[in-house]
Amino acid sequence: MASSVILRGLAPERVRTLEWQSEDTTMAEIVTELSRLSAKLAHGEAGDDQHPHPRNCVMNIVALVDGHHIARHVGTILADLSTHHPSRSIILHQHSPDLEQKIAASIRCDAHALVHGEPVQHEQVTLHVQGAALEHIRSLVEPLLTPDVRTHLWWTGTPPLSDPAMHQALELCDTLVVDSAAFERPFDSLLALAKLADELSVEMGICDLHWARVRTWREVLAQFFEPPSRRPFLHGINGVGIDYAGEGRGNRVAAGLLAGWLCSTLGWRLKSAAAGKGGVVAAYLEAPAGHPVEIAFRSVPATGQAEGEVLSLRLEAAANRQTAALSVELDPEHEGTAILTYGIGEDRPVKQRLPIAASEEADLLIQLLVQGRRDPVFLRSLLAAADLLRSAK
Amino acid sequence: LTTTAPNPLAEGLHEYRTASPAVMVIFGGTGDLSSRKLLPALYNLAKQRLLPPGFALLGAAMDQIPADEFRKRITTSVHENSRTQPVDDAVLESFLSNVDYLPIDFGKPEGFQRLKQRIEELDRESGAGGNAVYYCATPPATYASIAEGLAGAGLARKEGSQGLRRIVVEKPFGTDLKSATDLNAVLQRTFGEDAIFRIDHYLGKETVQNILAFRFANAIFEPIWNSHYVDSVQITVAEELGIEHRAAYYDKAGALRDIMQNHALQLLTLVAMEPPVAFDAVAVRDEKVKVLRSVRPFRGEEVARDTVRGQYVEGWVLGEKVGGYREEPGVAADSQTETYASLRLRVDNWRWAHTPFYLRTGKRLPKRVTEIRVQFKRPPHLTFGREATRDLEPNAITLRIQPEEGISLRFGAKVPTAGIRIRSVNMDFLYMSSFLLDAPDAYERLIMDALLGDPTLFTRADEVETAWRLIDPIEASWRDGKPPLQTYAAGTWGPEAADKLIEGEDREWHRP
Repeated sequence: MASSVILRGLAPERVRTLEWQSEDTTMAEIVTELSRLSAKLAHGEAGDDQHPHPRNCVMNIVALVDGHHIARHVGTILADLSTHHPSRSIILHQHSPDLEQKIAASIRCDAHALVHGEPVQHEQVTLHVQGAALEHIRSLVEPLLTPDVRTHLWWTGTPPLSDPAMHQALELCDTLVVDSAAFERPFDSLLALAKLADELSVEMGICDLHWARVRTWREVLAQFFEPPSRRPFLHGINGVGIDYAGEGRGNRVAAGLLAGWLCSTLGWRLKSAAAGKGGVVAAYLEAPAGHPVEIAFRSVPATGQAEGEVLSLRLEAAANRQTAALSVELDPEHEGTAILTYGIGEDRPVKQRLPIAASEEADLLIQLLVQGRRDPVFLRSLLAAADLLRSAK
Repeated sequence: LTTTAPNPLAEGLHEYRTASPAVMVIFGGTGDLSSRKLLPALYNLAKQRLLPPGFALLGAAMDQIPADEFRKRITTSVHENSRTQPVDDAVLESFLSNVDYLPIDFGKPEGFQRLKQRIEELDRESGAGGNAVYYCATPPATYASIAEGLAGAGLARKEGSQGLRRIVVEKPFGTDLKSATDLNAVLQRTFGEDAIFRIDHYLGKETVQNILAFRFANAIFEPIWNSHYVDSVQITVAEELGIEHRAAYYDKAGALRDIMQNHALQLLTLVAMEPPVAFDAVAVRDEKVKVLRSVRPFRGEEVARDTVRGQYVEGWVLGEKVGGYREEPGVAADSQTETYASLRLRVDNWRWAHTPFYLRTGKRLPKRVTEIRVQFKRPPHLTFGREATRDLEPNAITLRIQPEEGISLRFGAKVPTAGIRIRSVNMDFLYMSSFLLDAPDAYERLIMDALLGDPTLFTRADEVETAWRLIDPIEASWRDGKPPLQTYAAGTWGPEAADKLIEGEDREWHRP
């Protein structure tokens, strides 16, 4: 059960590692060992007349996982994350609560000497827990947290959003991180997530890795409408088309979030929505100025793209007796780029290639965690997406 | 600048700032600054998706090369100098698809007419909306003629429905007050102050901006940031390098004009300024100018008393023997140019009365380091007695700008022995240990600000001129040999006279 984490981005020759593991242990022993290893590592580089290096942990991140493969994957991502944010990570591998109570654990502490010689520490505790303790997640995690820094809870897979254990886990964290791309039943989980977001206190943040993935699309649209001369077209949008990768209904969450973002940001009021064959959704809305807006999204088979990933976005708008059309499409022939095409009025259409590379999970996590606890734009987009998809059901 | 409602789609896109589309013209696009800094910075902005759709780049220089050759040079410079590696080919390719080149003679009006034509074509092709940003990566002597040339071709001031027009110029801004005033007059006449972006790249450095964050985002330091508690402030801008093939420029400029007039005084303004009401261009720059106006100007013999100038002679730096300044290629054997300068300044305002500011800069010093040291007064009473506190130095906060960005607090702690003995210890904070993110290069930040039209981190005309008003009397006195030019061995912290400058007030230079 020794950790197989490879620290990407760290120079192996500058990493000093201490490890401990036990197949059958107690939380008290784990806390003691963590403290021992951490102190030993801190004193490691310091000379006799020097202080041990100061703590530079900026956050706790707790990951709840339910499979060996996922646990390893998450371990690697959190180690990656520590190369940007010195942190303590706790991976809680949840085995069956119906088995006899047992805790196995491993601890890995890395001190990475930066170029200027100062070490940065990352501690990763992996717990394998079975039995009744799983119903008391807080008692497993809280003793391991570094004090006075934020705690982020990353619930991989489909979180049991209405489960009491989930709510108990939420009490010890500042932010809940989920990935709606990995939801088993995306529609139901999205609605549950929206309900949870609506109920949570304002101090608590919810982040979705899938929301971070659509950020690029949001940026492109925001950039396009930045010049004041184009701003009237923003308020004159009357048609939106979104294609996402998949077959049938597939995972509409990203498309829904993008549509929800536009609706909630531009104040469009949902009038009706309908779902057709092949995952097609058509929604009819009214803009604040009174003109109708139609949003359509559909699944399109696409090789090499993750299910649900947005493939293209089209907008049509009218303002000042002129029309404008904009499309952004992933370029299948040039990975990591998209083709932006737009035309305004009688002007010759402009075509440009933009970098639009997909981000890895560690990068997405960083994006979300540096934003802070609560992203009101995500929350209102989530609620609008839930409304839209619920109406189309 | 057009005032318009915030873009609602930009809400929540943290660190997201988007500029209007524009054609950016880099004069001197094939030169050293472009190759080392500007082009890699633009590539990295493209990589971060910060360049707006509709952005196009036009290189303009004397070299008679085709556009393809310019694009090849960009590829080479990005591969060699980009802070992010490996280079993302997809990003580079999409960036290059919006790049063009025009050979131009800055001295000929017809060159600017051809430039106008090319900008208009690029504007149509890219949808830049008539916006243009001109970057002068050329010798300072060309700034005025470029501005006049652009104005003559109708490319300078925004007129009627034309898009925005901005010009970016690099320091040095003049060589004295008169030349700076003349240059400002030309730029203001052709572009207007709002459209002039004077780059002192020091201000684009993350850690320089962090000085303001440290002071004004924390409540615990500002109450003691004044002459009641602060004994003195030392600002050090040291380089281990010599003049590196820049003799033609440096021998005319010297340390006073090259570093003291801009970088060192900029640091002084940031550490001494009053809290601005907002982090915006007007508020921040107003406060900086107030500091410069508060600095007591040198009169008569004060220059000889409060300044030191030095020139390095042969010595050892970083384990290698190096020659003296006068032995550098291109330097006259009897050159009187200073490679070291230190000043004792008084800031005559309510906050800083009686707190001296010691500034020093030099070449061929032991190492490259920039830092600000705020030294506090000793406690009014020695509770533990003189013997127990023999090793105790005054409290100090050191703001390290480079190379290891961080903050260090020195305070006294009891040595763990049976008796009482207090010793100084340091509590160090390193930005790199807590924020392991790649900070953007100063040029990325500043180019982006110029595209956005945010001049907060650029130098305003009155700031430049006020700084020259302080420097000119020193220059004049130094020309008269007051104080005389001292020498110092390369690899030391400057001439002995610099030590005496500060020791005379019962202080000593901090060893960085």
